[in-house]
Amino acid sequence: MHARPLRRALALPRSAHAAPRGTLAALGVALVCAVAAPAGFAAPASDISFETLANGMRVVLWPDHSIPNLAMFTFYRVGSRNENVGTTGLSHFFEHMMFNGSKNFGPGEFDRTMEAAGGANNAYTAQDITVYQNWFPRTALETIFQLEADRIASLAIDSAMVESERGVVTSERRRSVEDHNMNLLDEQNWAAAFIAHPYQWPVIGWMVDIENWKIADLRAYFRTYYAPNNATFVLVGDFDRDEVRRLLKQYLEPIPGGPAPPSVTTAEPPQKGERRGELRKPAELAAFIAGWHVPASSHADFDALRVLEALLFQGESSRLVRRLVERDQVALSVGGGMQYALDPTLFQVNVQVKEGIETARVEALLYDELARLQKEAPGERELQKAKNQLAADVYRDLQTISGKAQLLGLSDVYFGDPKGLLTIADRYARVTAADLQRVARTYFIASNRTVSVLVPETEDESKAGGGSPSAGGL
Amino acid sequence: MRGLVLLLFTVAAAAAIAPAAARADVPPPTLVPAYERTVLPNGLTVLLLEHHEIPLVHFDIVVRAGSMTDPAGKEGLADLTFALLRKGTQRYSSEQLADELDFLGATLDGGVGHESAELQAEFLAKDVDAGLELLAEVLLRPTFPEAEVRKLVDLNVNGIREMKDNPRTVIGRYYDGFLFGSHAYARPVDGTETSVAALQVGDVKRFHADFVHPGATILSVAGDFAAADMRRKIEATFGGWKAAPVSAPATAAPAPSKGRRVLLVDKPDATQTYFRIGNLGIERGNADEPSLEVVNTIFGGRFTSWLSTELRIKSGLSYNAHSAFVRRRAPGSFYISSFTRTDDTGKAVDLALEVLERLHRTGPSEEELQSSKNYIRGQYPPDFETAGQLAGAAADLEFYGLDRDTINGFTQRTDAVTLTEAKRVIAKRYPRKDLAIVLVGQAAKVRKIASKYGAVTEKRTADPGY
Repeated sequence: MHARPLRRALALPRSAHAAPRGTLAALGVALVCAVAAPAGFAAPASDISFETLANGMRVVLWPDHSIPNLAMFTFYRVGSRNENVGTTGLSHFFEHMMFNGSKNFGPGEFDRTMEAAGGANNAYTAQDITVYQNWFPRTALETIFQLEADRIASLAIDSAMVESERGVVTSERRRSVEDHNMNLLDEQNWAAAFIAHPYQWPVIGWMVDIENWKIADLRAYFRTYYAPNNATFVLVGDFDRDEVRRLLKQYLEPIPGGPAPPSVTTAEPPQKGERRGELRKPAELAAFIAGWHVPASSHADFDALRVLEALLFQGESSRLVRRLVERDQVALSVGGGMQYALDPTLFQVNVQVKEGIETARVEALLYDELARLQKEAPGERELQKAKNQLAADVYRDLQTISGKAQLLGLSDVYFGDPKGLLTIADRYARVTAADLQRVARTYFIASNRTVSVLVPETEDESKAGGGSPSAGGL
Repeated sequence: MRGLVLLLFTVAAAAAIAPAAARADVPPPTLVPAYERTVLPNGLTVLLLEHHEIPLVHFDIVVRAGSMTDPAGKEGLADLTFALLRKGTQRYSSEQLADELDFLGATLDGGVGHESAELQAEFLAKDVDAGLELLAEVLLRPTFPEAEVRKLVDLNVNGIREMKDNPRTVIGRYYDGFLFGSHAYARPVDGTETSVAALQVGDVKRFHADFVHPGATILSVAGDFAAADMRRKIEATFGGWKAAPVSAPATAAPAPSKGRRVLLVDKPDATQTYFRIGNLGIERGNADEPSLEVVNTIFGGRFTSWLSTELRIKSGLSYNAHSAFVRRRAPGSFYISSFTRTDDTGKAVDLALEVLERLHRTGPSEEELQSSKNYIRGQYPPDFETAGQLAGAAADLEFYGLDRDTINGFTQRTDAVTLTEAKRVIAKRYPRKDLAIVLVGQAAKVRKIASKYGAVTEKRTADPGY
């Protein structure tokens, strides 16, 4: 139970338990497979349609009648990447406000109406995107369209709701960051690795920003980023395509498009030397995160890096789990990898160090494993294993209407093609052992690395505000 | 693992538009289709459910043995044993097994509850023969190498330490320990720092020899296969598994918690107080399940539930507040769960208690009742969507001795719940005066507030156990 890869909890959900269905695959998980939903199965991939409404909203439809339910996901191309100093976390906060009142549905009515019709919802915010998810029975289809259209067309931002939601989000931040060592360390590592690009701040935002943004910030944000032309609308499930086209025409198409949002022009300058930091606080176990800058998902090296990720972390036979957890027995867990990203991002390795083990020793073992990969290309069977795992993952994601909706939306946002991820396993199949060796040599170099170390302190040390000299620091 | 959580959700009704609510007069869909049930001569129960959506096959193997039988001081034994199954067999070393499974893109996980121990595995349909062979190896012929036992013991002890850095991960264990007292449900399934450290290879071998028998095992399979074909394969692979007398542990009913008692767990660096409040709930299969699903949806089971409305939506005190009934063979727990920043602890706990009192005093409205029923009907089908969910549902019904109608007819029963019935189950099943309250946070700052609710017992996350 402790050897599974950890994935960075980058996507912040609106609600911890209202998401009624199994957690979706983390964004970082490679989705697809050689043959998506083969012919003869309930929902063949040939049934997927793609169209663009007159207002610029992209629409992807995939009928699937296996259960009498639907998943409607709307992907907005906005996230913490589009924020600025002083208003970090605004995207995530705004996501919460999308549930707190619009022209025809006052505060609270969106959720009450949806739940009374048998529907449930959630939403999550990440660095590049904000995603709204509705799960509902087919009988609720038109109601959900009404609700969704009303908040996109005419969101009403109520000042009392802003204040109470501020309390909710600070509580969320305490729960998932302040009271969670690995997430706190993760936040620190991104802040250290990026000095220019907005990936430097956390999706949830700095606490002081959460406490200080103004209602005017939210209004400007809505106008700038929530035009239909900045979104991809995905519907999967038990519907009739003609009926849905009528509803789209009636409810979503009349909402006017807007100017394209300003593009993010800041590019992170190349890192020219290792960056290190420490986090000292009371903790049962030490931990560290090492991250290397890697390119955006649109880059030609993406496929090789994704296969490399599986080879390093996926399953007990993966290189890092076998070395650190199973053989040398120095770590409780090791995981990581990279997320889908519009801009150059980080490939991270998160390690929870076992009691009584020097952190520096574990770090050295990690670099030793990466050096082995740089020196010697992996064998064919190991390479094939990683590809098989990635292909099987696709099937798992295709098992639910929710998984399918997630896959289509991510495909469209990150690959500019709603079916892009349906055939990505074909791309992985072309990755060679030499490719893995090449990307390992290109990116896993010391000067491109940022490391953050959690140094456990006792309660007394913590109160004294000082702490002992670094144990195992490099 | 098999402790099911009944989580439901709230509401007042729709406003501007009439909700096109799911209609009660439409017959509910058959969520769990008919499946084949066979008992092999050695006593193994085999359930085969064809589900041809995606070329995957899911195996859910449930053994009637769990942490209930862990000897005192050796809590965590069943859990360790099932995690060790894949760490070496007669034919494969731990590493060879991992290589094989990963090469197939398969998953294999052990999971243990108080009354059951499970192996869950998923293979691509084309790899089912190899998968069955691997499953038989790990279940029937594990060798429990000493080095692997030591390694996993050490990992599990470290894992427990790490969990204690996360208040919301461990609060359930403190709550169960405090609520169930001397009953076996009080035991943490994964043990404590000291009990796991005491486990020996002999304990593990004995557990496997004593409890893992065909007569105590359900092999539930769902996915892309032909039942007749799969049955022949299973007979060939598991038919030779030797029968042995089965001693299914009986579960005595736990005693309810009396009066108001408080457990305060000190975690000095916590920035919030995490709390649970409750008492005993119901057992799986209890006739009140549908009524409680309807009521708990309103009280603490969905986003607009009363608890979430008060603690999150209106006050902004917390990111989350909910309630749940955990159902086992005997009555499990009922709890209210939330958290808030340290300084607001009293305010949030008072509010949670007030909402509970309001449930008893006024109960839900007719409108809320209808909304809850619609919600349940609308959200139920996706629980039975994948091969894994269907294999799990079939195994679950078999384990508790229930029939398919428990699931397929469930929403007809929730639809039939009246206000009078709702009030009856509220009075009967929701605690009011007698409450176990657990707080995890900065004891120095909340000690005084804690004492307001009842006699306080104190613990520290830094100490072993819960």
